[in-house]
Amino acid sequence: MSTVRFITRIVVVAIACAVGTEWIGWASLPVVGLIYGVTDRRARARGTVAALGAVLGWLAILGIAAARGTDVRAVAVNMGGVFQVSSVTFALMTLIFAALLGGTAAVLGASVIDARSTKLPKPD
Amino acid sequence: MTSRHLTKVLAAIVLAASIYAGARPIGPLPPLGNLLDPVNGAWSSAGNGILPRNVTIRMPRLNGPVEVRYDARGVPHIFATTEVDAYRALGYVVARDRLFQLDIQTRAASGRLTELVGSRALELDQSPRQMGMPRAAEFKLAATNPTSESRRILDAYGEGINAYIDSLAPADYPIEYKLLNAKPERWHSINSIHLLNRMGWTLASGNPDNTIVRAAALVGDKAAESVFPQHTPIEEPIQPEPGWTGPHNHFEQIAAPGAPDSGAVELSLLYHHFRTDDPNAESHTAFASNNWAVSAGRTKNGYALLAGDPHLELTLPSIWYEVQLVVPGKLDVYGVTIPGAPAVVIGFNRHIAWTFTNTGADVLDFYRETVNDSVNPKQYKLDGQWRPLITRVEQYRNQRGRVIHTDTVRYTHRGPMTLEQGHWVSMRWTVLEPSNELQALYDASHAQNTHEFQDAIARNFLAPAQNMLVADRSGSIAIRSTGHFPIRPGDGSGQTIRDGSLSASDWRGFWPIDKYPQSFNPAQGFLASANQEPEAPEAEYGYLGTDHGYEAWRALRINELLRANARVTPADMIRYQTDPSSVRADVFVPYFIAAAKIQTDRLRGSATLSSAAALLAQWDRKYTLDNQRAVLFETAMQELADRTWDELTTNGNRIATPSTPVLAELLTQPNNAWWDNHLTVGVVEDRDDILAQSLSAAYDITVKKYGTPNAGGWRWSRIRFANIYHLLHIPSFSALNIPVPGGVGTLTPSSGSGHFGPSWRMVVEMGPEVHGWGTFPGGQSGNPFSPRYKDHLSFWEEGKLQPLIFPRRSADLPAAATTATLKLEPAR
Repeated sequence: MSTVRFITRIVVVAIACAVGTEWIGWASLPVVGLIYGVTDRRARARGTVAALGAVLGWLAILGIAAARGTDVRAVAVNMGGVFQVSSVTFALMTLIFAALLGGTAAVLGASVIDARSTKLPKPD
Repeated sequence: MTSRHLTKVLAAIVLAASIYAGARPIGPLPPLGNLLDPVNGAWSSAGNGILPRNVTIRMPRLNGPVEVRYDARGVPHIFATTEVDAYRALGYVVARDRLFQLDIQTRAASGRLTELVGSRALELDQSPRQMGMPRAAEFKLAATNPTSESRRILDAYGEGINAYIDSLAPADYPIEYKLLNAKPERWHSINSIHLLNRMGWTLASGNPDNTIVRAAALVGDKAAESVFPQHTPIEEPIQPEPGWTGPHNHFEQIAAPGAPDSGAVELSLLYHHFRTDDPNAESHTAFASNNWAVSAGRTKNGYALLAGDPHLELTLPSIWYEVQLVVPGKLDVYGVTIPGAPAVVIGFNRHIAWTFTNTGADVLDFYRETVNDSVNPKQYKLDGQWRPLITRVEQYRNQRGRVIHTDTVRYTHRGPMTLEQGHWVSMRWTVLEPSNELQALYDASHAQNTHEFQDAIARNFLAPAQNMLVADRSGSIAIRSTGHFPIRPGDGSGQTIRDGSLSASDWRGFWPIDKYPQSFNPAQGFLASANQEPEAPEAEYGYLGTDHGYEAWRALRINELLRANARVTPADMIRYQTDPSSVRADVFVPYFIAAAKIQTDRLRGSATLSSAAALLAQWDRKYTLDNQRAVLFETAMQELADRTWDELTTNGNRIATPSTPVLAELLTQPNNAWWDNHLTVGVVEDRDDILAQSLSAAYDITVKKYGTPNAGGWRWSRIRFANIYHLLHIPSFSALNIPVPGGVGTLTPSSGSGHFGPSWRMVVEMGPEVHGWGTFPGGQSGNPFSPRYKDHLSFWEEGKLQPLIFPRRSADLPAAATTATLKLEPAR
């Protein structure tokens, strides 16, 4: 898979994750990951693509909020305090959570397709 | 298993775990999904902390347009065409900034915290319900006239809150709801009454009989009454006494500790449940409000000045919310409101300025009842007749609405009743009686002179009794301790449990208003209250309370400052609010130093004692941040209390501590038996033995705890802090370990825990144009992520007040000073 295709896939997944989160919430991430894993048969690192896409999607949402004046740093600092971790760790928790939901769902989605394709007769 | 299969299995497990953690709470943690979601979770909660520059909102039930302009301090100035609309808008803007606070405060006041946090709050919820507070609120609301202005405002305020709640998507909920996995509840008018009752509980639940009875159980009646006297031994009362030019001492011989009083031992057990005070007296000394006013004749500018400084529990967000309400021709008032109460509680209008301190009157009595069944009573006896008990079943629900506990609270005609050590005890308390404090505050905000203010307050403000100070633009000043003060049978004292089987034990009514402690334009030209005894003993109409509920030292200092200045300026008033001097230290320090010398002369001295005395002599008796001697004095005072009041200790705990004015009285009796340490058999200590021992011990303790005297560890800034906790005690949402000047007995007393302190400092000059200055420890927003969450805190720390902007019209608020505009339009 070329770098351009790899990045394109990540961006597409990121957009889907961002839109899904906006409409449905965090629970949309495993759905997007699963759909991506099922549909993108040609990609190899589908889990990685979905994980990075989910992270990018959520980063984009936070970036837009920050651009609109939301003090995301204050949230990270204060919420880090709630969890007794640093602000960076809290931000990482958020992104890792997104990555886990999107990435693992894509891996499972891909495994469904792989399982089905191994049972199908190979084309002549 | 191949690595591919392993990957699938691992992915499935991680995905399942992530979804579970995202959807379900794990231990104390809320569901992570709702919290980490960047659109709906914690990240989105920051958004509401920012005021939109210009926004128009349609609001149901609004009569006309309302404009809300926020100034640079985040204070909303509400310009409306009707008063009802002004308060409707107030409800909206308060909810916008303080929704979670509104919710949790009223749930706490009505005993419904379990519905927010589950069974862990059950005990907290039981207290207000068993004290009859929700029932009292229902009665008070039912008693309001539905067509009265105050009731219409109460309902409109709730509509404003609900308009805001209804506009919220889950993403907009304050962060606290997301952490608790809860959602806001729609507002009901009764919530405001719950809130005011809660203030009554905070400020008027002191119970001196509790203290006296428990002390008598250890040292006998006479000694108990001596060390917990009705009148403060050193005082300058709120109502100035003609001819007094300074504090008066009412020193008497303090009765020696004697044998325990057997009757008191039995009685003391009855107080177990209804115990309302803290034996360590932290809250008693920490609720330390000050107010004072200077008439026009003693000010430099020739205008009356007023300073208000209520000391309460410090929280983030603050208990107060600043606001101005303008309805042309009807209302123009600026001040602080308690979120949940549709009223400016402390503030000023174009004619008057007013503020309160707590009177500390004894308005809570207990009665031992005779019942028909000691386990499950249905009737109680009164004058030989059985009367039915009213029962009320209190149900406590969890977050899902399931009943988790049930209590049956029984009521006599006096109030709620509980079983204490096999005896049924009922209580009567002014806070539970019909009253309409909101009407009083509404009327006060319209008053045009001191008399109108006092009349307005006296009509309806019945509990908790407050020392209401007012100044007006004509240059007049006035004060009145206002509230219901019971007239009791017999000697009139409230320091006993009465026989509930006799109606003769009941209150006979309440003091007439003209007998309340009060003063109007006194000859001295100033008035001051700081929770001291309201009247001199000679002037008192009847029993009002006891020394244990009063605090003398701050009043002495304020009067000292005001007496010394015949040309007071607003800057002086502001400076006095953080004055670091202590009359208490002025009284005690010389005795410590003299005792050290006497002990040396008696050949009972030591190098430690001499060093400690020398260090104490170096102290300027000011609790400034950089001084290095106050810590030694405070430790010595603790040691002195421990050594002097050893007879009041049982099982390692002191049941209560007599006031320091009583201790000062004891200083004048060097051979009083209270000085003797009852544990040292065969040795009789006198005053100087105990003072010297206390000072030596204090030196050793201070060195052990904070290092050598001049190494920096003794700096007051490293000893005493303000700790302003978030309402859920979340440290990262709190402001902790803030060094603060002031100590016990100074005008800005700092409590040991740092949880209490000056909650709203205000100075007002009543000139042709009214000028106000103020600040509180926090900010207008209750959103921890908002830049307005604690933006006033630095001013508060430094003892500075900010000018309060008081425009007559919205156009008078310059555009440069307007940070946001909110337009409320009637919904089509």
